[in-house]
Amino acid sequence: MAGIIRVLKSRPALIVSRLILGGIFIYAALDKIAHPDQFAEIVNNYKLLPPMLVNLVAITLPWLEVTAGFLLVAGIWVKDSAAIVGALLLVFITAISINLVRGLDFDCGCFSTAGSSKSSALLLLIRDLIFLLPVLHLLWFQPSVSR
Amino acid sequence: MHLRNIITIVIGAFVLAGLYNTFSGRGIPWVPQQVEVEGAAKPRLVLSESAAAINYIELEEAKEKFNDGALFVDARETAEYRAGHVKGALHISAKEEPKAIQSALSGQQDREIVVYCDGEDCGASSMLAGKLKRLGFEKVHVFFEGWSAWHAAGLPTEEG
Repeated sequence: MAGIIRVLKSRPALIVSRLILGGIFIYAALDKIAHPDQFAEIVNNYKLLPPMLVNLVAITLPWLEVTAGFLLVAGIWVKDSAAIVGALLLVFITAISINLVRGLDFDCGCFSTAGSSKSSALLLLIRDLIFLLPVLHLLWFQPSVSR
Repeated sequence: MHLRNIITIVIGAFVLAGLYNTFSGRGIPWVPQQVEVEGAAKPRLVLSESAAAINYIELEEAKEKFNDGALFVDARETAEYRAGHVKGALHISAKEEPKAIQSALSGQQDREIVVYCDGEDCGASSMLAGKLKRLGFEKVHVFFEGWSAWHAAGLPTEEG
């Protein structure tokens, strides 16, 4: 156990976590930034937001992802960025769960605005839960004075 | 972890988003438009300019377009399409990649296209119609009442 914690605390392990997490979030955001109109349709299809807020979320969410992702990769404000990414993941997990429970067919658009008919909502949910692991790793073990 | 840093990141991201949305040429309105559609129970939410260019039609008009030889496109799930669809309709899922849509409709650029799914709350037809607009298809209509209304009216259908 002490060995595992020593590995988790090690600099290389922390670097791997933030590069993977940051990379995923930058990648996920780029297509949404390139096609905001399509992303707005996807946000709307979740049918969770008041209609008037759909575009505001579609415009700003990808930039929050890309900014936090960039800071994680760059190693600046790592814990703060990890906290933002973690909060976003919790929002996504909640949104997917609600629609899974009410059986609404929706287009995730998590990676691409072109959508993916093959990935079921359950897979998306599991994937987002797995993405929480590096978030927790960084929140726990990343030294607070991080540059 | 500092709340001040988190707030700074969020504000920074919002500023970048605002600048990009204003100056990139790909921006969308901050607040979507609500447009009344004749025959529809509630106003249609129009999210972007490409969506604003889509023409929404009722059963009567859809019937006319059908008789005039318009191409019908079913945007529902494969199983729903197989169970029954407008006679002669092609099946293209709203989630389909733009390239696949393009190849499924190659040579049909100038044709009247009527996209439908099922019911006013169904977003698939609008989503697919938006993709068609962006691919350069000009005459795109959304038959918003969709499959149930067509079926109930006893209009031509087929299975498979």
